Amino acid sequence: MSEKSRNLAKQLKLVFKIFSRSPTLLFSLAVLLVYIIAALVVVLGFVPPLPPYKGGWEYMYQPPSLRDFPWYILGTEYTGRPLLLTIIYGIPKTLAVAFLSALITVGVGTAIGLIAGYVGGLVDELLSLAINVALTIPTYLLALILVVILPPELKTNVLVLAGVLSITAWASLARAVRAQTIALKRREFIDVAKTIGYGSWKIMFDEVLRFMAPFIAMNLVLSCVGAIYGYTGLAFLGLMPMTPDNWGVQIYMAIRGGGALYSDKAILALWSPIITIVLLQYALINIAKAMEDIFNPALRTYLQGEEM
Amino acid sequence: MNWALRKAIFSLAAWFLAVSISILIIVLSPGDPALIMLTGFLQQGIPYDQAVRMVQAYIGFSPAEPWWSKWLRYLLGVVTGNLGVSITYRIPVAQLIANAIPWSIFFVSYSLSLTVILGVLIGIALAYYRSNTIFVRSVTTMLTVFNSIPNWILAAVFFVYIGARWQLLPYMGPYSNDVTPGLNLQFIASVLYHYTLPTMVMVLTSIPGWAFGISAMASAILKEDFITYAKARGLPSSRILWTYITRNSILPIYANIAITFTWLLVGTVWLESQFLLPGLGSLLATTSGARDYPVMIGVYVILITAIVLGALFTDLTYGFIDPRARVGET
Repeated sequence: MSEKSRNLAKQLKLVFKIFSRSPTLLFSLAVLLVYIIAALVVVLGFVPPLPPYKGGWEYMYQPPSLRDFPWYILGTEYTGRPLLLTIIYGIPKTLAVAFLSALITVGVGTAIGLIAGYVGGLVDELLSLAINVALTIPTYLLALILVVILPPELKTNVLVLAGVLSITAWASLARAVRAQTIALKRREFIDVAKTIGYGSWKIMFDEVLRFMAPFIAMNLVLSCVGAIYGYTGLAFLGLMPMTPDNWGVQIYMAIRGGGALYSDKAILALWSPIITIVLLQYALINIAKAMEDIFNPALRTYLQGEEM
Repeated sequence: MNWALRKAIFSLAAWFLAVSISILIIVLSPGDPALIMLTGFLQQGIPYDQAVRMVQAYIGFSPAEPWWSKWLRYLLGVVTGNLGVSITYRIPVAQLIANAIPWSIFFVSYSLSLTVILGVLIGIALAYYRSNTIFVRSVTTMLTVFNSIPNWILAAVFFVYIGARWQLLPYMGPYSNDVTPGLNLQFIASVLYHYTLPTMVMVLTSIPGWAFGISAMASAILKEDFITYAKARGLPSSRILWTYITRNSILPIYANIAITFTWLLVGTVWLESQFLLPGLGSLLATTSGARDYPVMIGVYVILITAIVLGALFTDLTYGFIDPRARVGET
């Protein structure tokens, strides 16, 4: 076995060890898997289309029934559509917004941090200024203003939403990547790479980035958590288009329109989207934490030391 | 004192750039508020010239001028304290904001101090009793759960159950109707009572970050030689815990106060509007719903200003607490 593959096997063993040790993490991975499968099932068209809007009190927040099993087992929501179906329809869109937004956040943050830290000099000064300015602008605040002023046809565009939700979110990652790059730049292997004749871009995006990959992966997951917070939270304020497949809109309607305040009529319509959001956030946060653990040197030596 | 002045100048520059860039993004986006307002006035049958003048009076810049002129004119208004006039309330935006600021200052500083105190206590307890697996596991699980509940969801749940359904705590308005606002004991007691539920939401959702951070720091410090030495010298464990461990755990993450402050300030948008409290957050939320652009942008600028001031304050106090921060900082 070559040195490289032995290392890989060792790392996989370690990852497996951390995973099997923590039932919470296994649970979180299972939850995320369920969401991803549900998203795929919707995208591939295995789910019946949303029935048309039905106005009138008699259709709103109907109790669970076995009609069209299993779509009505949570009853109906404020437009008279089956609640379970609208929640499932929310999964692919929420995951798409979250993942795209995380990609933009992490891509921009990593690139700016790497270039600022590696190139240094005037470039670093300018990029650091940009990072510091972006740090003073909270993403959700600027996103709120933009969501209000953008025309409706742009607000429903997944790519625009992802961009809006990552508008200044990249800054804290950029700052961390810059600091790590500056620290890594002083290590010998960078000098070796330079002597061999590697170009700056290759060193930056291959050698340096490899060291930070775990950290960046963890930030990708945490950025998803942030984007889901913004996407559903802004909808809850009533600022997003009132589409029935947004979980934030569903909670908003259950409280403002469904009488969840005074009766149990809308109780399922209130709790189902809440549990859907919290479960997803819980799973993502646990996965991010596990990633941190896997690449935390202290814990790694502890676990590796055990087998010796 | 040189470092303090340098920090202040740097903050001023960051503030100026942050506000400028935000205004540019708003003006250049496909939904320039001045144009939207102009279209609205024209649809009401107001003649073009008059509509342009009305937009200028409300928001401070005209829809017909180029972007750089809009940006310059709005910035000039910000510097001179003229933020335009509210479309819904028909009074100056600056006045609306001035009425809202004290409430938000109270709400945010109240929640912030409780978050930091409780977060530090829980974090230290987690590190100190780390051998008690049941305690650590249950507290960590609880913190992770609260970490994954968005604050607006917890607010909605508390509003519906602890407030409306079970009537355990007041859930609407900043104080009860039978007290007279002013510096009297009944009023203060009533305000504190009415802010219990909203503050609970703020604190519960922002404690996890502090508790985890402090406990990681304290766990590392517990292994340091000076702790062992202090124990060997026979110092009482309470002294070791407070002056040796707690103080040294807070220092490295002291700067997080500014981050938590920002986070709480943004949280007021959801929490103040959920519990019908006055303040900058509810002002932004209600005027966003009504598309009252002058107020929205004005509140936004004030919130950015508060965030910059919060960061500057944390930086300066940190410099006083830890002299190392004063040298070698860029």
